[in-house]
Amino acid sequence: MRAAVTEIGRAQLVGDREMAITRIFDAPRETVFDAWIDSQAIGQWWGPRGFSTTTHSMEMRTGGVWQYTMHGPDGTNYPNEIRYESVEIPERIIYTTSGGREDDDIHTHRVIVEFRDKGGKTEVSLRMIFPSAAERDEIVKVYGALKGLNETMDRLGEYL
Amino acid sequence: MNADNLDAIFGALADPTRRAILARLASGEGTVNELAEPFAMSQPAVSKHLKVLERAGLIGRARDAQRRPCRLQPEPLKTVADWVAHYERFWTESFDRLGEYLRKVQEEEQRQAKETEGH
Repeated sequence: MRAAVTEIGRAQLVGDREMAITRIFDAPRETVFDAWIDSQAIGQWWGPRGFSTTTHSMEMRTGGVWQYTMHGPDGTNYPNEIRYESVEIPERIIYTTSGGREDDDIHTHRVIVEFRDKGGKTEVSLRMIFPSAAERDEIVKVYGALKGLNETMDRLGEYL
Repeated sequence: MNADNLDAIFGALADPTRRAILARLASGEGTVNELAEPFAMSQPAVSKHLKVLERAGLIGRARDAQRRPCRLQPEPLKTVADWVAHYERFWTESFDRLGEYLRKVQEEEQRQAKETEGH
């Protein structure tokens, strides 16, 4: 079986307000781009392993919105919303993402995805940019707090 | 840990030389001289980086007056690591799944093309 991924890239921290990941996929640029703009397709790979995605609405155009819910492996639902700042077929997508709930503001960030043709293969570069150091700090604090809470609940579960 | 501390940590981690110094210290303590060696940098330049790392609480200096070796203090890294791990996992695994999806789509296309040829 032919591998569709020829270069394994992992996401990593770049500078003080960015995360980045670049990977080369063994598929033509149009095919790769389609996987991002088709609501049926994106639902099949979006999110970490064990997660699934339900699309409520998707307007894939500059100024459009994608409303979806991610379902975690433990049954938790995560409502989300993406606003497409720019959709340039088949080269680039720029969007802002936020949790669909009001209390999820801290997850707001901007993402730039670029698709480059590499002789029939496609290099996808994704950069996740947080608006400010202050906002990123909020994320760290809240994320840390949530994790602490989970650990407490786990211990409580063991105790009970 | 407050926001100023976190800014100091992220600021310290933003520089590749400082990240390399931390990686080097992960395998054991080192003096300024020892740390300067692999980077082709002057001692004062390395000292400057070490001060930034020290302010962020990422390294400590031993009281040994002669050598004053630096050692890694990994605790602040954990907070940052948790945040990074969350998004690292999201995108690394999404890209893994995208690769698998693309393979499936292309195999399906090839199969259909073969069927068409056969008819």
